[in-house]
Amino acid sequence: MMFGALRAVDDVSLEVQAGHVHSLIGPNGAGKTTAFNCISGVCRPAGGQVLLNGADVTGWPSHRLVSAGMARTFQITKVFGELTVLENVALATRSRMGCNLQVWGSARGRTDATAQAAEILKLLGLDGSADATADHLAHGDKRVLEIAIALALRPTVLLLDEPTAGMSTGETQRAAELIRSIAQRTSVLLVEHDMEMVLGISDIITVMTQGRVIASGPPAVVSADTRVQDAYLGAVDAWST
Amino acid sequence: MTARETGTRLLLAAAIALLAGLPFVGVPQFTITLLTEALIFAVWAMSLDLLVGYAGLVTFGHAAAFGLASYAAGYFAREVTADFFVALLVAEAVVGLVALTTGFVVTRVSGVAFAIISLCIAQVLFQVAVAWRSVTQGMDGLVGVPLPSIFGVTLGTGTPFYLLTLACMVVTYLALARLVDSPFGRTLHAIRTSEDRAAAIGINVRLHKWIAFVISWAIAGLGGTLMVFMKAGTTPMSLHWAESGNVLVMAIFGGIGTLLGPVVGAISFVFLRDEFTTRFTAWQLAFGLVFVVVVLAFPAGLAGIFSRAWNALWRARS
Amino acid sequence: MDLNFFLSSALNGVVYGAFLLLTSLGLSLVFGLGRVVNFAHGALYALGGYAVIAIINQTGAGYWTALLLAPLAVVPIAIAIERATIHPIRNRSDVYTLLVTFGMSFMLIGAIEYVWGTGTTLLKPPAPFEGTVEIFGNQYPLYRLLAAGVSLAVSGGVFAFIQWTPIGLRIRAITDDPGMAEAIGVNTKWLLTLVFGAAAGLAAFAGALGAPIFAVHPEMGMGILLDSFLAVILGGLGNLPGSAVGAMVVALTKSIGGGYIADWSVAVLFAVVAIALIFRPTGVFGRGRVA
Repeated sequence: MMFGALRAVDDVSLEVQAGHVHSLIGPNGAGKTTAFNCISGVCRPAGGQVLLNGADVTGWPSHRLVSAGMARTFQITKVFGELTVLENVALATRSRMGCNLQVWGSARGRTDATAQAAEILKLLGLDGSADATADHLAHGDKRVLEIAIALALRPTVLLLDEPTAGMSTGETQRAAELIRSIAQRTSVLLVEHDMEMVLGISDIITVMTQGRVIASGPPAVVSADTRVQDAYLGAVDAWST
Repeated sequence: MTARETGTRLLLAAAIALLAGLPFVGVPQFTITLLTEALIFAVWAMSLDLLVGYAGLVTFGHAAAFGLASYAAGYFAREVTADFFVALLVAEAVVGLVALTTGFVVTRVSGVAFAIISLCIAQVLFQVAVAWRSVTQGMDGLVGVPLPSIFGVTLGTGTPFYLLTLACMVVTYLALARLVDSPFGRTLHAIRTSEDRAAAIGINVRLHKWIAFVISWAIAGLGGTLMVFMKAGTTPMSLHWAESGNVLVMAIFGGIGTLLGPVVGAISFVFLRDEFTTRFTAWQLAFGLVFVVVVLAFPAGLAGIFSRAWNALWRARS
Repeated sequence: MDLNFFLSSALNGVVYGAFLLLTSLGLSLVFGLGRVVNFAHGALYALGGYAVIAIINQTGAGYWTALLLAPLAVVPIAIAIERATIHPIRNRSDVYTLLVTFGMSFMLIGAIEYVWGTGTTLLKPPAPFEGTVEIFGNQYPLYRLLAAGVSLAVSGGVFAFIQWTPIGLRIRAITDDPGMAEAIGVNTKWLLTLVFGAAAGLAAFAGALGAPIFAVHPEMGMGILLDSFLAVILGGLGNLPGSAVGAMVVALTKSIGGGYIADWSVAVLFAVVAIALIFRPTGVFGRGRVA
C-alpha cells in the first residue's frame, strides 16, 4: 500500500514510502535544497509535479500543504522565540484543529490543544522545559522543538531540512534516534549532507550530485555503489580545498 | 487567577473609576476636553497596536481609517441624522468596505513595503478629500456637524460626551484584550515572529493579516466617529501623513504590543503637546527627540518601564 | 487646452523631475546598500534650502559659492545622524530604521522652525539668470532651465561614479548581494555611513539649487520625499536606473495631470503606484530588491 507517497520530478524523481525514513543526500550545491523547496512549496518547479497521497499538490502554498498532510522544519532554526516551548507546539495543534481564526475566548482555554502539545513534548523529551521561553533553549533543544512543532501537525510526511545542522556529536546521536522513532508515526523525508548519520537511520537513500540523482536504494546498496563513493568522496575533497 | 492578575485588574478598575469621576470633582472643563481628545486618540492608538504590536505590520497611513470615518460619520450626521449609533454604523460600513478592498491587496506585502503602500493609500484619501469639493468642501473641511444623540437624547459637549468616549474606550480595550488572548490573537503573534514558520504550521498568513487589518480599521473608525462629533467637523488634515505619524508616536511611546501602553501614550501625547505648544516653540523638535530616544533605547515604551516595575513589586512581595 | 499648454506642463514636469532625480537617487542608494529607508531625506533636503540662505545672509557669499557650501554643511549632520541613530540598530528589523528616521525628520523640521521660524522665503535667482526666455509661446524662467540642467548633470555624475569607480563597483556588488560584502572584504557599516552622508549631500544640493524656484519653508521636504518614495518604488527599491525613470514618470504625471485634473492627478498617481507595487513588488522597471 502506498500511503504518503511523494514524487518530485525534474531530473530528480523520488518516492517516499509510508513509514520510511527516506534520505536525500549530496554535497553542497547538489540541488538538495532546490528539490526540497520545490516539494515544500517554497518555489514552483518549472516542470514536473509533487504528489501527496496521490493528489497533485505542486506549487501549493505552505498552509494548504500542511492541511494536506505535509509538514516541514527549517534548516535555520525558526521557532517562536518569545513564546514558551509549550505555546510553540500548542500553536501548531490549534492550527491543526482549525481554531486559529477563533477571535473569542482565551487561547489557554483550548485545553485539548495544550494537552496534545504537552504529550508531544513528552514524547520528544522536551517536557522538562515546557514553560521555558523558546529563545532560552540550547541549540540542540531548539532543533528538537522544530521537529515537535512539525509533528504536532500530524503529517503523513514530515520534511526535515538538515535537522542536525550545528549539533554536537552527542546531540546528533540523540536526534538520529528521535528521527528513527518518529517514522513509526509518519513518513520522513530527510535532507542531509552528513552521509554517516544518514546511513544509520534511513530505509532508502537517494544521492544527488550536480542536480541529478546518481543512486537510490537501501543504505547497504548505496554505500557500496562506486559512483556514489567517487562523487561523494571527490566532492568532500573539493570542500576541504 | 493569581494574586498578581487580581492586582492588575483592581488597578485597572480603579483607573477607570478615577477617569469617570474626574468631571464630578471640580476638574476644569478645559482639562475634560483635553481628556476627551486623549481617550479618542487612545481608541485609535489601540487599533494601531493591533496592527503594529500584534500583527507586526508597521503602517504610516493609519490616519486613513480615522479620517475616513470622520468624513463618513460627519457627513451622514449633518445630512441625515445625528443619532450616534446610526452614524457609527454608517461610518463602519464605509471604513469596512475600504478596509476589505485595500486590505486585500496591501496585506500581500509586509515590512517596509507595507509601511509605504499604506502611506500611499492614506495619501490617496487625503487627495480625494481635497479634490472632491462638492462633498468634502476641499481644504475648508466638513463643518456644521450637529451634536450627537443617543436614543433621541441629544448629548451635550463636555461631561456627557466625555463619559460616552470613556465608555467606548473601555469597551474597545476589553474587546481587544480578549482578541489578543484568543487563538486568533496568538496566531497573529506567531505571524509577527516569523511568517515562514507560521505558514509552515498551516496558518494562512495573508488571511490573518487581512482580518487583523479590517478589525484595526474598524476600531480606528470608532475613534474617527467620536472625533468628528467632538470637533463638530473635520478637515483633510485628519488624513494627513503627519496624523499617521502622531498615532505611531503615541503607540510606540506608550509601548506597542501591550494595549494599555498606547492608552497611556495617547494621554501623554495630548497633555505633553498642550504643554509644549503653549510654553515652548520647538515642540516638534522635543517630540522628535523623545520619539528617537524611545525607539533606540526603550523599544518597549512607557508600558515596558511600568510593567518591569510592577513585576518587580510582585516579585518583591512573594 | 492647446498644445503649448501641454508642452509647458511637460517642461515643468521635466524641471521638477530633475530635482526628484537627485533626491530619489540618494534614497535608492541608501536603501540598496543597507536596506535603510530614510524618512528624514526630505528634512535634509529642506536643510539644504535653509543652509544656502543662511550662508548668503551670514557671510555675504555669492549664490554659487553658497550652493557649493550648503551640502558640505549638511553632510556632517547626516553622518552624525547615521552614526548616532541608524548604526546602533542595524541588526534590528528594517522598520526600526524607518521609525527612527521618521522621528529624526520630526526633529530636523522642529530644529529648522526653532532656528529660522515657520515663515516662507523665496530666494531671488542669481544674476545673470533672473530673466525669462520664450518657450512654447510662454515666458519661461531661465533659472529653471539652468537648474534642471545642473541637476541632470550631477545625476549623470552619480551614475558614472557608481558605474565606473571601484567604490561604485563595491556599492553595486553589495546592493545585488549583501552577503558579498564579507566576501570582498568591505566594511559595509562605514560604507553605509559614507553613502548616507553623500545621499544627504545630494538632497541638500537639490534643496539649495531649488531655493530660487520652490519656496523655502520647514515642511518643503515632505512633498518631494513622498514623490521620491513613489519614484523609488516604481523603479524597484535599490535599482538606480529604475529610480531615474520612476522620478521622471512621477514628475510628468503630476505636472501634466495637474494641468487637466488638478488635485486628482496626485490621487491617481498614488493609486497607480500602490497597485504597481502589489503586482510587481520588485518594481515596475526591471529588477530591484524585493521590498
